[in-house]
Amino acid sequence: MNKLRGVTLVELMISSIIIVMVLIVGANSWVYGMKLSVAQYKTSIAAQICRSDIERAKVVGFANLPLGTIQSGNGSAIYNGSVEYYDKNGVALGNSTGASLTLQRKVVDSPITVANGSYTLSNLSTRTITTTVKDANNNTVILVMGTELAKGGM
Amino acid sequence: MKVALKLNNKGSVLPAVLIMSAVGSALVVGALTTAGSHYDLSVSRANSEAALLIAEAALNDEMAAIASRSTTGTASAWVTAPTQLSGEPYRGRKGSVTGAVGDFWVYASTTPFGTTAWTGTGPVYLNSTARVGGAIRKASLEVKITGGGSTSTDGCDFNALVFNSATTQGGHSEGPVAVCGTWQGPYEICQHTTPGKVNTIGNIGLWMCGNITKSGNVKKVFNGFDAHVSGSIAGSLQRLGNGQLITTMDGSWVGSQFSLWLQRSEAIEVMNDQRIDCSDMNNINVNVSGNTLNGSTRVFWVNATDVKPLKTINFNNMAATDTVIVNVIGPTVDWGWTVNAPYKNRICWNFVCTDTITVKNRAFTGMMLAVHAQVKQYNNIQGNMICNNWQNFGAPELHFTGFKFAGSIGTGSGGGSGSGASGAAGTSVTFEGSYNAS
Repeated sequence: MNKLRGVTLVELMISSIIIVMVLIVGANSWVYGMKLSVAQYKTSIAAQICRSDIERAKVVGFANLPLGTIQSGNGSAIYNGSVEYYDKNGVALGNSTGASLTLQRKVVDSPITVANGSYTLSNLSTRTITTTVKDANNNTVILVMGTELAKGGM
Repeated sequence: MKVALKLNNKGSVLPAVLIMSAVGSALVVGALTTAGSHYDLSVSRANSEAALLIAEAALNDEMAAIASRSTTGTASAWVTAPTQLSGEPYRGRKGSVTGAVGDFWVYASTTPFGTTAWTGTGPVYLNSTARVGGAIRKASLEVKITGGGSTSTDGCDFNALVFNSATTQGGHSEGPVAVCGTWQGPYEICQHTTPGKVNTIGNIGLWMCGNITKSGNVKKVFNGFDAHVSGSIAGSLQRLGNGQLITTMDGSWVGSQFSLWLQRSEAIEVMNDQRIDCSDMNNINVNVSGNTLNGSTRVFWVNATDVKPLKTINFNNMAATDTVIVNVIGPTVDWGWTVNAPYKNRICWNFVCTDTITVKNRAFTGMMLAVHAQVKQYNNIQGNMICNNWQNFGAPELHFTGFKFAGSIGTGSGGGSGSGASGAAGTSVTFEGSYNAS
């Protein structure tokens, strides 16, 4: 009879260990799952605002996008747009307060014709637009999208 | 027997815990799988969007490449052949968009996504395939390749670009004039400035793809510039300075200009813009640099009724690189504003939905972009006039010296069809016809 009681104690101990292990693994998995969900949501919103920004740039068009700073060698010029802020739902904000995502557009023009400290574009030029969306909390890149414009192009 | 029952009850704890753990684990695994699938789906969707942008970039990249290659060789060699190189998964030239993940392959053919190489004549389609991660998107575009060494213009060389008829009582233009209908009445053309250009043809004072009507009227083209008239000529067409009369011409140019300027006008109209504050009509001041919606292209809008009172508008803080565009909204315009600006030749007034513009009470200053409108001119117009019909009364003038448009107006973009701006040098490649993406 004493021997049988000992088995029950061992059984309880094993059960407790299993429960604890399951709880630990489950909790970690839950956290991981939540992170995946958050990442999924952020990726989805980032893709939307990224695409939206590039479409806006395309509407402005090859001829009207702002000119950039001429790089050494005069072969190209780079324009870095201002940082824009968005909340977790992709709504644009006026400043960084409450921001969940940041967006910045970059335009690289090449080749360019430099004269008198300024430059012009020709029908040989391309204007490469890249838009980067970052996590506002840790500044890590979530998504980068890019396209190219040509004179008379689409 | 009682003892045995107790032992059995206590012994069920472990199996029960194991079962509960198994069920809990299954739920956790299921939740994780679902979350993982959703994440993968989002990434795939983002990759797909990015791939389409890169596929479109490839088409533009090929257009620029054609313009670059066209300085030498024959037309068929300017485009990328539909050849699949060893080790590549798709036909064409491989490339990428700097800074973005993914690759593209692009080539030209005689049909959308076809495999027959373009011979240098007939329709040419640019086809691209882009791959980002596992996402693959394709795009195809019909383009127009204009002959190498082109010096074609986009109509800005002309003081007046009239898509239909003209009726004048007198007066003169400082710059060249293009009319695509009948022109009745006396006029003096191109008194001051340099001639116009159409494609590779230069020294143009008058470009008319219609008839000059009414006997007794005298038109004069000054400074030795040529008159191109494809229709009949009634009355007298004098050419001062030994300009030539040329009757064989490309009658389609003005029509293509209509399509181009209509597309530009509509593209401008949908750009983000700021309303000009007309609450105090005696103090209409526009802070140009404060409008940063479209970079150095400063786009504003105003109601047509606001420009009627005899007032003055001041464009302040305007830089030499700015282009000011004002969308004027309304079917009828009775112009009454004097324009003060440091760079009047970089202002465009866009009348995208206007039927009639009367310039009577004040001179008009800036480019008048009014492809649908009939212009009734009693007073001077200082800048390019692009309109559908033109009537003048008395002898008002078209001024061009110092007013010829020097700003920058793009073509907009997006799906659908249309034609873009021609290049200033080298072969121009333009978005001509159908666009398909998959």
